Amino acid sequence: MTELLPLNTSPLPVKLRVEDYLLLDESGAFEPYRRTELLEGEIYFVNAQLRPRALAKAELYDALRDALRAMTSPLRPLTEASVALSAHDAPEPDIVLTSEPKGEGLIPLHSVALVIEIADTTLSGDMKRKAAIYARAGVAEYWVTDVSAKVIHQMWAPEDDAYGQQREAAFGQRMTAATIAGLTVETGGLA
Amino acid sequence: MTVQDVIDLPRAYRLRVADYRLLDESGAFDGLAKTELIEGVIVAVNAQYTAHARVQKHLYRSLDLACSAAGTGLEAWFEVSIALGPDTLPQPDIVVARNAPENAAIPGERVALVVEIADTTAKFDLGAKARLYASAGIPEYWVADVNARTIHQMWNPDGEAYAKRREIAFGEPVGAMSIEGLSVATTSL
Repeated sequence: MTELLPLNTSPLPVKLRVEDYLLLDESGAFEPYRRTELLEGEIYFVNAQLRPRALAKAELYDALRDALRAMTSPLRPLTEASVALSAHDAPEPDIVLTSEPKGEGLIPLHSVALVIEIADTTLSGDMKRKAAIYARAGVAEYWVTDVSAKVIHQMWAPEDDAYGQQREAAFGQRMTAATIAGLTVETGGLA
Repeated sequence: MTVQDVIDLPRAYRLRVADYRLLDESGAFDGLAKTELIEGVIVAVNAQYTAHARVQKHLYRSLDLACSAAGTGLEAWFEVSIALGPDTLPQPDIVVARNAPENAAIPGERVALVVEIADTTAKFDLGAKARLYASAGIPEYWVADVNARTIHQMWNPDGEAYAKRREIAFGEPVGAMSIEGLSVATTSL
């Protein structure tokens, strides 16, 4: 552990670091699971992705890719790529817009322009804990696509543990990114 | 859990003993005084003070001598790991066991008695740890509470708890309830 911890004589949970998480991943520890993430030093897993979520992700990816191509943006959407967010956070967002899609290892934080999570059963975690984690890391913009309510929550202006600005768009409406100039996304495919 | 269950809401991953060892060997826990794997979670302390260490040292010495005297083939061990399942590898303050292997954690079934010394940890030792040791079928468990100056003695594990328990004040002799002929004086505590 490289960080300086306060002295404790009572047992406290050890927060895993990104390098610990990657070491376990290389060892094959997570092979039974479809997706794992390191959040605040703890590893989480899921082993299933249900259709509504997979479809929403595909539709949104296509819409983003079309829009970015049309504006010849250097940004590229990637699905399910891990981001080196902090010493103890390596989430795997459903979609991440990065300026550095090529290269080895995790997506570097400085390249991230937008993070999108698709929420079904995960809505509460995505709106609260994940929003706090992304805001704390300074991710400029964060969207949560709520498959059940058919609405996209758009957040930007991160400050400490929260986003200062927020608005919603119903599926079918045109989405305009708040922090990426010129990016508008047609969400008709989601409706 | 089996991998056939549909899990689409993220669940905490329980680290296995193999994961814990891999991290330990990589140096991940350097700088921590002591780590343990408890039900898939690594917990650590990074400091220990003399009040705790003194009681631990005294009880260890007394128990080791008493084991020799009782001639039961038991030995006392100081802070060794015991294997209690695929995701649990605690390192109790003192362990009394038979046939301890040289280069591996002591299997739970060879453990006769576990002793934890509690200064700031009484709640954890009497709660989560008692559940853990009872579930693993450890026949007897003592918690020496440095502040209350008492030893909580528990035996007869039944499910997740010990069916029998009593308290003995520092100074009184403690006779093990599940080990024939094993008794230690605590006068120097």
